[in-house]
Amino acid sequence: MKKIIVGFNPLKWVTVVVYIFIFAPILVVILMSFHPQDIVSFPMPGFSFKWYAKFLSNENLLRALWVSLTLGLSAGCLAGVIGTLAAFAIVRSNLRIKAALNAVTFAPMVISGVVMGVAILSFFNAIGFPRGFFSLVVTHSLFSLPYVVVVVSARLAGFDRSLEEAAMNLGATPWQTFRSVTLPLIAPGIIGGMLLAFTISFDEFPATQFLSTPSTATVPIRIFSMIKTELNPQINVLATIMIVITIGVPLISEYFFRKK
Amino acid sequence: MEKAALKAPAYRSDEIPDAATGQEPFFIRLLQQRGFIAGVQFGPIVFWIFFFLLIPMLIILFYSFCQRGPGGVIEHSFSLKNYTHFFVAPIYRKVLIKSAVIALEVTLGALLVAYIPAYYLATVKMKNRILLLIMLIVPFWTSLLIRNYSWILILGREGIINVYLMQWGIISEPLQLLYSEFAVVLGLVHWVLPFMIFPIFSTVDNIDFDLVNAAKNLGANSLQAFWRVTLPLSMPGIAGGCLLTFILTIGSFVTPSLLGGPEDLMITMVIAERFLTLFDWPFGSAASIIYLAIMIAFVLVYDRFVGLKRILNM
Amino acid sequence: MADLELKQVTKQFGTFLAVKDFSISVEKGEFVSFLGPSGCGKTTTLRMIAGFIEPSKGEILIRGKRVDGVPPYRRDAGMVFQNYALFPHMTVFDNIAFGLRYRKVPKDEIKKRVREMLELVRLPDVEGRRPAQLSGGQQQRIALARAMVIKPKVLLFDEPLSNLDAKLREKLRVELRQIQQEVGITSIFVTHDQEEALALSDRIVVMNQGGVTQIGTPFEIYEKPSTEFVGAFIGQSNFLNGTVEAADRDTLKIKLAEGILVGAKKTAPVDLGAKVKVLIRAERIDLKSKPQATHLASDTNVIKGTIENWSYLGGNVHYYLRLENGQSVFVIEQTAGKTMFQKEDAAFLVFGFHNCLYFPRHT
Ligand SMILES: Nc1ncnc2c1ncn2[C@@H]1O[C@H](COP(=O)(O)OP(=O)(O)O)[C@@H](O)[C@H]1O
Ligand SMILES: [Mg+2]
Repeated sequence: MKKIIVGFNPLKWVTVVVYIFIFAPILVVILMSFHPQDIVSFPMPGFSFKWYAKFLSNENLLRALWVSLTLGLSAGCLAGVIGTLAAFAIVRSNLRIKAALNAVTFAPMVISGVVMGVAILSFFNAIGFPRGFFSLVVTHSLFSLPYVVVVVSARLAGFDRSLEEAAMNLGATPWQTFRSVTLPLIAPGIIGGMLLAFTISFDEFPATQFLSTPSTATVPIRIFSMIKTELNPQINVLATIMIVITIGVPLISEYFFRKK
Repeated sequence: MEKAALKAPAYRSDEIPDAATGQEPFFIRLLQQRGFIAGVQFGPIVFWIFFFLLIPMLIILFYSFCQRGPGGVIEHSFSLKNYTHFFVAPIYRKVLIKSAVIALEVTLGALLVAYIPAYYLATVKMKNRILLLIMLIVPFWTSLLIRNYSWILILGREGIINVYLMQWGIISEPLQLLYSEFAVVLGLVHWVLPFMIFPIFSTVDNIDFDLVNAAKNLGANSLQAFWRVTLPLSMPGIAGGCLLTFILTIGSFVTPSLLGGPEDLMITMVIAERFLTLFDWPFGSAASIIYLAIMIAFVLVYDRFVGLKRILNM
Repeated sequence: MADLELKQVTKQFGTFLAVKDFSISVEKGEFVSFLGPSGCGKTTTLRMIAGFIEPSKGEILIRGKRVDGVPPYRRDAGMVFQNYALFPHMTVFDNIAFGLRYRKVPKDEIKKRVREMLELVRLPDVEGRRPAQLSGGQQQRIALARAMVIKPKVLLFDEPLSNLDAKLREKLRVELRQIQQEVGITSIFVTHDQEEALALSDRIVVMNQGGVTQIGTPFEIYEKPSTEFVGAFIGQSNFLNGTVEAADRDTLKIKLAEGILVGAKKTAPVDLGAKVKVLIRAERIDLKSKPQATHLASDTNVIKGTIENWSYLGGNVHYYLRLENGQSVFVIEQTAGKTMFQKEDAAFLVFGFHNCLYFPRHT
């Protein structure tokens, strides 16, 4: 294997450069979170945890983190349930509307978040419903639905239906079959989809800016205004925490699935 | 045969409880109705899409024909004023052109950056290919805001690039990298890269390389074989990646807001400004509808000339 | 009372008739195979018995009780699937105990019965393993145990051995028959493998294009095929076109091409001059280098042919001969204690009248 790539392979080196390009911004932020000074400067004069300490006493940011976490969990669960049911409908039913449904489900993925945001804002405004947490949960779940549908559909499409027949043949009712056979076997797909949904919600800004209120300001809302106003190094800490959460959560769940 | 007959009487089967009647409790029978199951599966998503996608879109369509009254109230006086204003005022034409130009630049840029790694990963069957593929999704997992912030740290006046270039004496004055179209395109290319790499990767990965070898066998050199065989065969992936990239970019908001200069206004920024600071919802709605119309027109034209089916079947 | 009864069961998919007018009555402890080419409706029939699909017409009775319309989980028909369908997320123990849990069997009894079953299928030490850690043959035995532990009224098999390699298939076939007889459980076995059906069954149902062609013991099916299809599908046979030349009370004389006559035992009434197709089993023909008897005397046919080709298969030899009228005949001979014929050798085909079957022919 190694011998094939002897000497200089331009394709390989271009690939390496692209990977550096992909990871550079992420690594820079993590590095900066340990920067010891107020003004971000290069090269780093040292290494410190002081911004972490500052961050941990910044109530605004902590509240935003809490809002984002609960919002992500709620939207993830909601999208998980709706998306799983929809995946069943799309994979297993033979109704005509399923193709149309499949296509429409993907609309929120390609329509600009800004436009989705103003449309949903207008909707809630028209029915006299206040902005805030609920409207955010709805919007974020809508954005995450296509991802859940894709992941769960893939899992369902590969599902051997004779397993369900075997269960019923052995005396399990359709509901018992679903609980004891179908659900456990597609659970990794559902959880994977929900994690994706969480990640999407956790990072959503374009639509969120229209729907959040001061008490439901999410982490992206805070970061956006911090970037716009002053370059506070606490962003680096927040960024590092976000990176650790968004990369760590899937990795941890992966680890547990492997073990099981 | 006799043996079976001899032993047979010893066998008695278990009865399932209430197998005799074959009747289920009411709610279980309800659960098993086909209509009920279909309702549970289709219901929530149809509800969600109807109320939170279709109706909201119709509402902004309605608003786009209204007028902004004093204090931001929406006056239900129907006219095409918002639309005519949008197309008459030069600033909005500039915004539209800028959006399209940036989207095009990003699409081309992403294609250039993505093709070689996608090709390399697909053709060199290395052991840790899966790991390298997963690593491509990592930027997708990390917050876009954070990545943009990081570009500020890298490209800014006192950012990494300027600091080092000056230290090494290559430049004497910091370069204006940030708050420019260049920064916007760079940030967006970084954002859309996975959407470009994966479709290309999967089509190249599915190419039967005996075809390429056959071409070489017939006398083509490597470059010719690539140009005449591999590239045309990877066209569906390229087409799919470009479509997705273009659509995502033209609707992007965060990156142009954070990395762009005052000139780099995109249509989403106009919409957001109208809704958030000018409280002119009708005009903002009209701009949204124009954005949607352009997107739909683009997809239809694309379907006409390239074909969506080919991409979607990928 | 029959354990399982099908009365004119018919299944239609759209305009396509997958199963038509299937009727049979299966006795307690009987082992019945559905045999037929792929696509003939065997699985569909089995799935109607199990309750996964409902018949379009007809009745299905298990122990005298109508079950069509009863959902599968209330039918008490255990099924062994072609791909085993073991639950991959459960251990072998949980797989086998699955049905018992839904029958509210007490815990200790579940344990006892699962262990008994594992003994019965000769896999006592695997209860803690996952299906993926078992070989194909072991998985199929667990699938059998899982279906039998609930003591179903009928046991249904859908080509359970077809995913296994030939040696293992035969071994499991013997074991399966043994276990079935030990327990005395009524069984329906779907297969497209004639050898499997012949070896296992008390009775065979031969199916073709959705219809039942013949029901009978393996002996009847092989020796007295009711139609040309059954004769062709099972065993290796020669078919020769002819017309009935003469008939008396017990025998027929059938004229083949170029006036060659063969004698056949009369099994069904035919008219003189009727067009027939003659069936002769390849292994029922003896090849002799000299005609030791007279043709058509003492109920024996002796016909001259020339060896055109042969293939040696160890235990037996396949000879391809040409008769004097140009028709080809295929003969299987045991190799034990015989000298082999060579190409171009003349040989006499010797077969009794009773080995010469005939069917009406329309072309
Ligand atoms: N759900 C279905 N819809 C339409 N046709 C079907 C369906 N299930 C089976 N068939 C058709 O019915 C015929 C019999 O199928 P099957 O019973 O599976 O045959 P086999 O004898 O090989 O088991 C086949 O031609 C098959 O294509
Ligand atoms: Mg079948």
